[in-house]
Amino acid sequence: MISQIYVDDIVFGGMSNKMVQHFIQQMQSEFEMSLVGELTYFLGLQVKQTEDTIFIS
Amino acid sequence: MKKFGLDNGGHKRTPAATHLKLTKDESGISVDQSMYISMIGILLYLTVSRPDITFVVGVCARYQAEPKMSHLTQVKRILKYINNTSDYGILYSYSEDSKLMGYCDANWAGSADDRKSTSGGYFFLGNNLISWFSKKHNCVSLSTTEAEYIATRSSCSQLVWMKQILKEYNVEQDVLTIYCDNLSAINISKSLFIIVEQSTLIFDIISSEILLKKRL
Repeated sequence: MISQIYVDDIVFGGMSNKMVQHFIQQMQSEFEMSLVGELTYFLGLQVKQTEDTIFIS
Repeated sequence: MKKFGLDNGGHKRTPAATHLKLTKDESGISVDQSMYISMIGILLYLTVSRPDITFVVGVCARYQAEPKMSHLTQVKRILKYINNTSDYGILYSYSEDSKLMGYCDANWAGSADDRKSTSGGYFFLGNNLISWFSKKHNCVSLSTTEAEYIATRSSCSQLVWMKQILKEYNVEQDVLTIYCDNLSAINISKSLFIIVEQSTLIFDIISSEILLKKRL
């Protein structure tokens, strides 16, 4: 699992769903934060995710 | 675009003319500096996701101190190009192969003011572009070989840095490849690498000697 933090923005992803769910749970219990779902916008970059490609514009 | 009154301006298919020649243009008409700087600021932010305008924005950014009409015209052309190509982006696709590769090039005496060259480099992980740069040299090159060698050298250090960061992510790299289109520059790099290898070898011998002495 890889997690990237930039000031107050966090992106994360992982191969194991169990690990990812655990990470979400831990972060939410430890800090006051919410999960905004699948990555579509990060640091002013638009991110489009499809089956096997990622498009950034 | 609205901010600069270009929302109904024309569209451009390229960000600049093929042989872009911008100079200080001291006799040119001065333009509003704060507007020029603001345009450059916007464009510089865009270069994070648009490798196609990295070079030309870099060139225009050199004239922020005394922007003239000729510079502003060029910046407006980039904005028109962006307006036309706002759907462009970078596509990352899945691939088994995760080999690091670098491509580099340099122009020669590209800056008409001080005859310094500009080098550029693109770095791929597998088939995905992950990093790029365009930078004016600190010194004047007397030949294309010199300019290309400087480009190769800075690309090389970038690649080595990327190799280290990938190691942190458990992506090990074997041999790093750089593509350079100047034979003499390639030969210089090769001969220098041999010298570097020899010197590290000597360093290793020296340090092991020191170790041995300490143990004794």
